[in-house]
Amino acid sequence: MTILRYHIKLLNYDYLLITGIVWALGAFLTWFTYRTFNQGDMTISVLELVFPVPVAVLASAAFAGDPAREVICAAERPVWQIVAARVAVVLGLLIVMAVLFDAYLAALNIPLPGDGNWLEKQLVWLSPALVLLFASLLASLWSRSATVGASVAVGIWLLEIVLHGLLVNDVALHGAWLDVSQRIFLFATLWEKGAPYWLVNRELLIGIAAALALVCLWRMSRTEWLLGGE
Amino acid sequence: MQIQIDHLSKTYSGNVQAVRDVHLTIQPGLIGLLGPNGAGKTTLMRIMATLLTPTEGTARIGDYDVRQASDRRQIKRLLGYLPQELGLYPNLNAYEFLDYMAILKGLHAGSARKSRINELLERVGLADVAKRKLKGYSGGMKRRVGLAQALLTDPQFLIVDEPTAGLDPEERIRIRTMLSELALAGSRVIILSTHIVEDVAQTCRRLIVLHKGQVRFDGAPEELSALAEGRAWQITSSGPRAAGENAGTVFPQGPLPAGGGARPEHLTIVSILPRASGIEYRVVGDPRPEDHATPVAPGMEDGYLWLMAGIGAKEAAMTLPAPARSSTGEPGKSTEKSLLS
Repeated sequence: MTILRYHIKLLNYDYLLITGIVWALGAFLTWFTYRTFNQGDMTISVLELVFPVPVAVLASAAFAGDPAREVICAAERPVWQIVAARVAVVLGLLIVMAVLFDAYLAALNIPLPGDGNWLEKQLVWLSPALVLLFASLLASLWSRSATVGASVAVGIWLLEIVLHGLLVNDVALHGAWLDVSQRIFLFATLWEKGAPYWLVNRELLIGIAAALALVCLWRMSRTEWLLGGE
Repeated sequence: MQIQIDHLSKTYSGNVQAVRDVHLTIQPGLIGLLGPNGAGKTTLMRIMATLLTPTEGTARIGDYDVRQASDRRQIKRLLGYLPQELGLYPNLNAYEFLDYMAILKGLHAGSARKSRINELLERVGLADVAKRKLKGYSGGMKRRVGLAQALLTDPQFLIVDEPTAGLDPEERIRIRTMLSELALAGSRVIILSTHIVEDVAQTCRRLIVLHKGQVRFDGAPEELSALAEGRAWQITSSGPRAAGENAGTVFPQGPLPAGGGARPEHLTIVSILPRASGIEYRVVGDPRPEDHATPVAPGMEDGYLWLMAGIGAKEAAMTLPAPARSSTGEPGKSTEKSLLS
């Protein structure tokens, strides 16, 4: 438990504060829009579009943002175990945020977005968050820069928002392109409400995140890749 | 504990050779690793710390080979490492930082860990400020925290990379005294990398000079000083001398020294001191540069600069066309025969 306490203390306090503000702002806007317009788009947006971003930014610093990383690499405990523990802390933070938000929605009698049972509905935020988190971590490990890692996550996020028409409902490019892009689009709940492929989309995203996590593990297998000594 | 390095080379991408065919046998004690920036010191130490894999050759730390993945964890158990740039976690205090590092280094027993941390905080003189956040520490205090983390497991093999760089004299002396005490206290190998000649002179009984990845000198500090025997001079000049072709050099002036013979094209400056009588230059060069140059007893800096000047002259002679070569011969040539690898 001591090590867990330290992993939490090592999180960037500024990012944590921003994450808390994002949560509070999301909660307020959800309440406001639901009461005013009686629609749940803001609920989906907060869970699917907003929560994954600060989590991905925090994950980008799990190794590359560590000022003592050279000493960490010389420690007996393997680097991947240290980074995995830090990523677990970040994921824990995401779960706390999401579960608190679920409870908040329940208290206001606002329905949870997504299809299926309560657990399946948690894929609304979990799937895109895992993809962005591991994409950000991998980019940071590759570039040895937390800033690059965070930028990659934000870049993917922005591109998905800007190109959402092309990715999920472009008529001109209908066919194989849409079959693929609809299934790996991060924000399908918001832009394709009730789509029949929704659950497949969520599962595929988790598969992509798992693949990215494996590449992260491979990247951490040699310290010279992490410190810059190829 | 012995360290055996054989035919060790490390080439980075872009064909940059950081370490070239290094052979060393290192016995317990405090060993100085000296060399200019980019000499390969940090690369060599990172290889010994298992952070980098050699391109060729190997290094054995005790019974373990740095090339073998299965041996690396064992080496890490023997190792204490203070890198050149150690960042600390600003939100932790010194005790918490050491506690965190101790857990990562495999010290799990709570009470033993606590007493070890307290002992080290006492040793590095930070017990009184152990609960203060690290962001409030001075540069010297941060280096002492770094040294304490390197000592957490009471390592048999300690690597300290530039521990005194940028510190005030008091902190420098404090840290090098700590290292000397550690070397006296057991059978551990301590490798001290620095480019501050004075630190090595005051602490090490053996030093290794690296230049462009190769070992250029391996011996006692007094042997390095002896390289400049008869080549260290003091010249008092009425005004500033014209700079030589390289930074840190000046041209000789005035009549040729008595006895004739060619004089060096330029002299390597060791120090410049303004005096009431003029400007006092301490230089190394061979032969005697000027008639009024006074021979002085050489120190380690003289020997080091003479060694470096010799390497520079040798490289220049290899690259310059024949007519441009020095007619005075290459400084340090005789040294290279016996001491340069």
